[in-house]
Amino acid sequence: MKDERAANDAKSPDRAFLTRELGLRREQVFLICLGYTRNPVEAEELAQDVLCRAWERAGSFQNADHFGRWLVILTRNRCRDNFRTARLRRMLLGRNRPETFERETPEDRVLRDETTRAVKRAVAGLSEKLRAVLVLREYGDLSYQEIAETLGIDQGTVMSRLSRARQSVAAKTGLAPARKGT
Amino acid sequence: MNIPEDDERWAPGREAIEREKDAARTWLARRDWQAPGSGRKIPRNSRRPVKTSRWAAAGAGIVVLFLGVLLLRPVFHSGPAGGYGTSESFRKIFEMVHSESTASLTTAAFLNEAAASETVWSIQRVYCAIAIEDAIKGGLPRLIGSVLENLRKSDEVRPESPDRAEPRRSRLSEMFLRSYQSIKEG
Repeated sequence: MKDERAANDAKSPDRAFLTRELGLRREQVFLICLGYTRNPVEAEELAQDVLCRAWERAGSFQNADHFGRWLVILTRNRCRDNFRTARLRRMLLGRNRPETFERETPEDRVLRDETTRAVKRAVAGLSEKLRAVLVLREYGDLSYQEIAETLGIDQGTVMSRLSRARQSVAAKTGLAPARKGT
Repeated sequence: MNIPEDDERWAPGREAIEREKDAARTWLARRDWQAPGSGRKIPRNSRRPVKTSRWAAAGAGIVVLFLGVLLLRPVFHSGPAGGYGTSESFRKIFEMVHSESTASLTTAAFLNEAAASETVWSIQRVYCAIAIEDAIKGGLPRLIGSVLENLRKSDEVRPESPDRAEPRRSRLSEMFLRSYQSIKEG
């Protein structure tokens, strides 16, 4: 019964469009979530949540051409909210995330790598404005124009914020010496 | 759209992020976007008992202590030995209720304070607690009715006690009603 209903839903143009688009864009959603969170487990949960919300709220967007931007905005808002609550939770309850992995795989070792963790910490320490630009650019692989449209700012502002964010992360992680005056 | 990055200083940072993304993609491919409980179960590598911080433990301790004091207070303190003191706390409440400009939670806090004071008997504390709940859920106008209704109930429910209950409950209820009426009439 459920399968039949799902099949009927999928036949309708909106549902079919959504199914296709969400399938294509879910990795991008996951990677943006990864930029905001501290590990892939949390990023996956967030991404699943974003995809479910997108499915539920699909009626609120009008132009199918803007679906990608709408989804990125939805993802960014959800990640921003989660980032705030997670920070509050950490402050109140302390650190409750694992520092080690039970079954370590090569990719786990990369995620546990000190440089990667230092970059994550530095990104988390950025202001929301700088973090949004950096995450959308580096994790979401969005162009400057797409970032500008998503955040509702000029391309020039995107470029300057991105530059400041990179300088800040590079300086904090020791990946590169800070420039004079930064 | 591929935009050449002019900042070479960022190269190590980008490499670290790319490594992280590749690793996360591989991790995700292994999980294959499985919903919890569906299909093959892959052990989640982040499952760990939640560690409670000192702050959380201290907070929980304070809450438990506070609740303990609240619960045990009626046991060790059955009511005033004599006299009712002033009705200042309730006067404050009714003033605030009548002005209808104060948040119900603040009102509830005053009511709570009054309920805990020695001028009110145990059974009326219970009714005041109900009124606090009403105040939070239903807003201020309902609070007035609730308090007055509870006071009436208090008169009805209170067990007969020949030595002190009858005169005291009457006096107490009258005192509240008078306070409210006087404030209402300005």
